[in-house]
Amino acid sequence: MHIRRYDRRTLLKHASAGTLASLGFTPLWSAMASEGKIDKAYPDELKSLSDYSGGAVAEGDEITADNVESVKDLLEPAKYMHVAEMGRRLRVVPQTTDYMRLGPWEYQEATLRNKGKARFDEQMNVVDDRGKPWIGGNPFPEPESALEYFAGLTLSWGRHDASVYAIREYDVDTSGEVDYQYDLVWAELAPVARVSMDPKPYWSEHLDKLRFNSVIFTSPVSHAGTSFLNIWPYDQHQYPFLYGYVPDFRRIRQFPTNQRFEPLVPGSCLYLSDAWAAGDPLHTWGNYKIVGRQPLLAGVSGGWKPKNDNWAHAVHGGPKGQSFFESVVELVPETIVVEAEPVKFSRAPVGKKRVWFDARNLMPVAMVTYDRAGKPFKSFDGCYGLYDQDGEQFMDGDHPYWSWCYLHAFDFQTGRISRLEQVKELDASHSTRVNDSYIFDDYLTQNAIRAWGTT
Amino acid sequence: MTSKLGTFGLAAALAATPAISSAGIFKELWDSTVFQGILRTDVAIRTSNTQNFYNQGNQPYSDTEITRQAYFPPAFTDPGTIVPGGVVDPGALAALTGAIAGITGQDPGTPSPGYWTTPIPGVMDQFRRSDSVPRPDDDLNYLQFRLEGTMTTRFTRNWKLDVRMRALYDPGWYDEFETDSVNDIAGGFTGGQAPDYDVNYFEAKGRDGDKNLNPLEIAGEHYMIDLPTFQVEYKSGDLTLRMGNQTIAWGSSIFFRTLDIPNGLDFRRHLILDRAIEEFSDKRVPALSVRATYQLTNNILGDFFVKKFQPSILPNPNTPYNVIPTGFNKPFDNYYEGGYDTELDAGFRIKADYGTWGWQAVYAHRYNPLGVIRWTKSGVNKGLYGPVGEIVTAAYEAKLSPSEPGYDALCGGDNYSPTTCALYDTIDEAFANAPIAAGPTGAATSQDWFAVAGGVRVNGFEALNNAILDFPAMQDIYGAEAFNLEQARNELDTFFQGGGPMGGLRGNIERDYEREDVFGLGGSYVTSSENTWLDSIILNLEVQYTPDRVFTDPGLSKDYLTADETIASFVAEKWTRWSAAYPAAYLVFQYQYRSESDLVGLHLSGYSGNDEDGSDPTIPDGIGSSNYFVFAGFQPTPNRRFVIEWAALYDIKGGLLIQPGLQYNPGGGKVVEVLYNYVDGDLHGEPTENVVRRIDFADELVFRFTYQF
Repeated sequence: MHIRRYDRRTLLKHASAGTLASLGFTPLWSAMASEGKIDKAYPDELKSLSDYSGGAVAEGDEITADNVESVKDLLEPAKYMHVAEMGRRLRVVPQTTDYMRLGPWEYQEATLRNKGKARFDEQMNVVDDRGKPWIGGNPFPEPESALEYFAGLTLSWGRHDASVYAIREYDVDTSGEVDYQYDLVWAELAPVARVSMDPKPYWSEHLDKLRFNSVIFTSPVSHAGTSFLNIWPYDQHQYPFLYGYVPDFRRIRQFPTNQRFEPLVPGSCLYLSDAWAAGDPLHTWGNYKIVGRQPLLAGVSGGWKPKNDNWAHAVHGGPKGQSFFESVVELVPETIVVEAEPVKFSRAPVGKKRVWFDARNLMPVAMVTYDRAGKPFKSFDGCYGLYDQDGEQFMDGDHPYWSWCYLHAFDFQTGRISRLEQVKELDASHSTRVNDSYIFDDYLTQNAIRAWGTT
Repeated sequence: MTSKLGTFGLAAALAATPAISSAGIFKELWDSTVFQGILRTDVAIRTSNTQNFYNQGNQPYSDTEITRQAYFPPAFTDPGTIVPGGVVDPGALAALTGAIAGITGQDPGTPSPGYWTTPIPGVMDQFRRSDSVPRPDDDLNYLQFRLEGTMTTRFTRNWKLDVRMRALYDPGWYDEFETDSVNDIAGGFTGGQAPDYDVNYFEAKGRDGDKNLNPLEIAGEHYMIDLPTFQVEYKSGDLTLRMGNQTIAWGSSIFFRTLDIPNGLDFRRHLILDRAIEEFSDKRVPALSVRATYQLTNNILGDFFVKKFQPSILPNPNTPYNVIPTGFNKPFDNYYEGGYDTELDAGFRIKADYGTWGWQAVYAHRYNPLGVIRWTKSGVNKGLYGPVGEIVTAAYEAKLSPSEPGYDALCGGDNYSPTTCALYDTIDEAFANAPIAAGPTGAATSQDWFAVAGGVRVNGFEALNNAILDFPAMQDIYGAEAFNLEQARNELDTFFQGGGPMGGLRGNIERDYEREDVFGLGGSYVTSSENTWLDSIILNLEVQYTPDRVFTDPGLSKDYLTADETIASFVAEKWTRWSAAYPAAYLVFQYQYRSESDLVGLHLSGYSGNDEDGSDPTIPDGIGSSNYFVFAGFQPTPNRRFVIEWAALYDIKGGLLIQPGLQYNPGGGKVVEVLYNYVDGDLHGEPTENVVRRIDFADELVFRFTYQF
């Protein structure tokens, strides 16, 4: 197909309207399905930051306070503020054009394989063409509504059937000091829509559930053993059941299911509700709407640091040089900006959230939440990546692991920052694992969280 | 936040073991070991005029001069009341009156009949405790330093070792009772279970004073080091098996131990006055145990244990939160002598959760860790002092003693009469077989006897009679059952003069343990409502039933009380947001009903005595049940940097314990906590009908500083 040349203004106008196909570009999902690449879906201006910025910033450069104005329209407000005012630096890496490098291999395959089979049932839960729970991959690869963006994300957070993330969290105060540091384990397992682990696509005895998820703190000693086990019903109107091991009580207690806007530990900027930008059941939020479409600088590759001890990231920025991880961004050619409101949480501190979805894999690449008064509350930005870098690989079965690498949560109103990084291991007991058949017994039962509890 | 420092000991041990000293294994274990720890200081500043009234110097009537009048024992006035057909032994009477005359300078003549109501002319004195034991004036109720470390070594995917070490030091910066200051009174301190006389903040030993009750504990007067956790864990699939020293917590009630039955409690340190929200995490007594937890189904968790029986540990005499009046020697603990140390407890819990509702069932075949207490022989070969001592000794020596010719014929079998026959060759030996013995700082007047007894829910009247009736040696030294309070008062004042002008009599008690079968059931439900106040309330109902539970008799009789006990608790928990700005507050409301005992396990029949006016004692007739309400919770500030906490315990009979507090998390591994314990045991009604009254001295401001590493 011949693509005639268009001026920059026309291209960007159509890009922001999602109508590049009308100019002769191949629709994104057709391009990825047929060739595994996005090249034919976007003009050069959206495939290279150098082209986009007219040479002001190029791949390999660093975005700093000195040149950030030239790419201001490619940054969500928190990241811009971090660079312009707080000394954060963003290293620009080349755009990822290979579809299979934008998610776990099996999930990416299943998304293409199952395209067109998903719908909402009368309860507005995602089902396949037989009316059964979803069978794997993203159910709505070409979303037609804001709800469909969040439906796919809520169905599968990390896009693996089972994951254990060994995490180091550093909470930074306004003076730039790390005043709290935590080691924690985040585990999630999907009993439905499974694409890697047997039985597939369903673990039949848990067909009524969407997810098992636990978070277990292992350090410092005051919080070691503090844990929360969420069991998500498949019905996205229902709140997850929440159990927790409370070290002071030395036993498991049940928690109410609707308290999801609480910092789990002192100093942290994160709520359960913030997880993966879709931490609550789909229909406990509402008023979903698409509010924009834009290219964005975001971290979707190159965030893994295999050469560093325990995959740790170097830090920089802020008053003490400890506020941010060493960050990489690439030009994401198209993001869809979607907003939603926590309609079932009457006293939530969040009035709405705005999430930027990468059109290529429909993962959130940035989120900003707003308080009830409409003021910016918190932002979340991080970096995904294929764990295949610098000559090193970390495998997920037959293919390199794909996951998130680090995350910044920034509180606009207090200036606090929580930095989280996925590390290789916390100690001999906890290491990052994926699609491991032991994950359920190790982390996702009451027996499991009790076993990790303080003794 | 973790460190390898703590593995040094393990590394050294491994290096010393040739079979496993290879560098590979050493490095592997080193890499597999994690150490974490805390340093903590706890300070409680007294804010009340009252101090622990169970300790020396603070007992009732400490500053009051009390007249003690001695009375003729019924053996010389009403012998027939003691022994059918009994008569006054002329020789003993002559010795008695002769001794009286020698002391008072006047011949008392033949005493007129009057069962414990005929005064001995001229034999009386004035006693004021503060003359020998000045009242302390402590600024601090509590000051301890703590080092805690945890070590986890993972051997394989399935096996790991968990160790938690706890080291505490109490410098004793209090206005301590000085034993040496009273050693010249009534022969000083003798008898009782060591460690006894010097203030000892930590040691808890068996009756022989050699072995610690807790086998994995090293303790001295001012320090203790123990291993609350020393366990090997095997985890595979649905099974978790833990073997070693450990604690087990059950039940959904917080603070109310309705189903939390596997472990006893360690009341040393800060009694029950630490942060309420911590519940008993630092207080459960660890025990060598095997515990298996098995995920029976997706919804049902099974929990089974077999453990070595370990008793609850009570504070030592004269320590800040002692609960046993120091007129008693430290109780003889028969843990080892009674063979309880080789006994096992066992139990199981089945807990099911179905999202919005659940149930649990509990059973344990165990020894009640609180134990039961009764009078016991003093073992002290020591007679009496002062004028009464001389008089009684003279009379006793006039009796026919077992080593004298003709004893068997005159005193054997039915011929025995306590008025004419001695059971022992000396009065010293008699006291060794009696539950009381002369000494400094014991019970010294009938007033303080009854006031103290009322305070600790002991029936002072029955306790006197049981000491006499359960111990022939008491009758041998002219003790005789009292039939009314006047007789009891006179008898007590007579005996107490036997401790000499500055002394009294010290009581001796022993502690045993009784087995029981505990059954429990519980149910939970989470509400759902459009009304946000009624929505997501977590309700729990728990019931414990223990047939034939054995209790300490309030009269300290050798025959314990036995009763079927029902304990029930209702818990309602809610997390609620008052505003969008603040995280949810945690609110918990609880109620507990106990049919037989109070919150700490004492039988209710000892309640309702008089702990204020020992000159007008009330014989306790008990209360029908105990009922407690708790309202507690916490409210974090944004980012949880501060957490406002509160807990209130209300005994419907008129006791209130309120504990507001604030936790500050400044980061950097530091935590600062401040709380206030407000105790009112006399809110309404009779003070001795509520449990709070027992700690109605503990108004205090508590600071706690913690550093984690």
